[in-house]
Amino acid sequence: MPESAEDLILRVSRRRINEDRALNHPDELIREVAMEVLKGTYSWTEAMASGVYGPAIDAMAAGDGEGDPARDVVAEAEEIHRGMVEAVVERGEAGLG
Amino acid sequence: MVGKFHVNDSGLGSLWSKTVQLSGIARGNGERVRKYAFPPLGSAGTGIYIDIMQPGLKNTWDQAERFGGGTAEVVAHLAKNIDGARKLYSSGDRRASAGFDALIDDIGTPDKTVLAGRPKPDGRSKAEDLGCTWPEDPAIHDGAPQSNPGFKFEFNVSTGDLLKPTAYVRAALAKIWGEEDPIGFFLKPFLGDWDALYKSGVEFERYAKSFGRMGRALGFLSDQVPAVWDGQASQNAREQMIDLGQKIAKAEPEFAQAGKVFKTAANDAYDAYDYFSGKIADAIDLLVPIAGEVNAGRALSKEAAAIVTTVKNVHKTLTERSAKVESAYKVLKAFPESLSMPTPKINGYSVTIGGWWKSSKQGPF
Repeated sequence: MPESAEDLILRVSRRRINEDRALNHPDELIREVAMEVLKGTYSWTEAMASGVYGPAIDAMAAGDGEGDPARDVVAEAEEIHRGMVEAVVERGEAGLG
Repeated sequence: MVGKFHVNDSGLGSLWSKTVQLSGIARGNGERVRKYAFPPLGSAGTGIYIDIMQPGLKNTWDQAERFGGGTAEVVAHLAKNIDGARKLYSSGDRRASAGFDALIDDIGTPDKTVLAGRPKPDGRSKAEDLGCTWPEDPAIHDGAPQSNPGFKFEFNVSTGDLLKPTAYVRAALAKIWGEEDPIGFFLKPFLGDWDALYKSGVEFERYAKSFGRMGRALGFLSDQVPAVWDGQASQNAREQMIDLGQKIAKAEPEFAQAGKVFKTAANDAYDAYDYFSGKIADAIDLLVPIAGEVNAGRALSKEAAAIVTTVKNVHKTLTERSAKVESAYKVLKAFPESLSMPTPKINGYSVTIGGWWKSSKQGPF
């Protein structure tokens, strides 16, 4: 069964995000976790239960205070996602840039 | 005089002891159901799904109590009267010799109701037939797991502990899903002791199986009655055994079906819970690395947008599945909730029992 555009987008996006956290996050613990998640050693969910990584992950999830908490992220995300699906349908993985 | 009247004292004794055994089995079934089949399902808290099943479980339990109790009472009464007949013969009471000729006619009279279709009493049957291997009532070895420790553990972890150290992840999930308590919203309906419900199902199946065997045993005994005991009272006893056996034969599949419903409900809960908790864990796993952006309300990268949209779609899937699960439980609850079995009662056998001693001109023969 060929991979759907949505599945391809999710797979690539997930990998890119984890790579970004593994390489660029300022917290060393988060970089460690992201690297292990990329290797498939454990998941973010499992890491959250850890006494070492849990607080670091929660701090990361708190956000940096830059932004607008009232922003409708879901509507915005859906709009962006629609464009990504169109691009992928048209050009395949290359459509993701 | 049409034939030779006979009463086989040892055969009657055997008939009596087997009937007493049956009464004991019926009582034992009742005690077991009372003890194990209506457990506190809310020991791990209560969710709406197990609440839906509760009235049906209570009804089945009540029905089993009444049916089992009534059957035990009737069979005990039957045993008592068989014993009374045996003692009367043993004592040489002169009433035992009264009206023999008339009694001999009784034995060959085809019955218009319950005796119809039964094997014609066979004079060659032996009293020893009553001493045939009596089927033991073995514990049911149900192949399915009767306990799933992972279920309660996993439930408690997922609903209670999973997100405790990560309140912000939960906040991000709540923001995307529009649920104040995003985990609890989907998982709390599964609260409850499903293992206990499953075990209740096993108990009702066991109850049905045991009573089914008892009904067949009564049929067997009824066919042996003419071999050891002639006369009106004998026919009354035989009719009663057959009638009770037929009532039990009707009840057996009903209780078995109720048991199956409870087992199915529990198994479905395990499966559905696995599905829901798995999907939620997957959604959380996707969301964790971008939860900060979501919580802060920052402009999303396209990768983050893909994750947010996927997580949102999980919510849609789970909402649809929740509705299906709830309606499935409403269908499941219908059978045990409407179960209604007639309770065997001694006075329901007024012709065979009451008339046995009071109305029969011949006495207990």
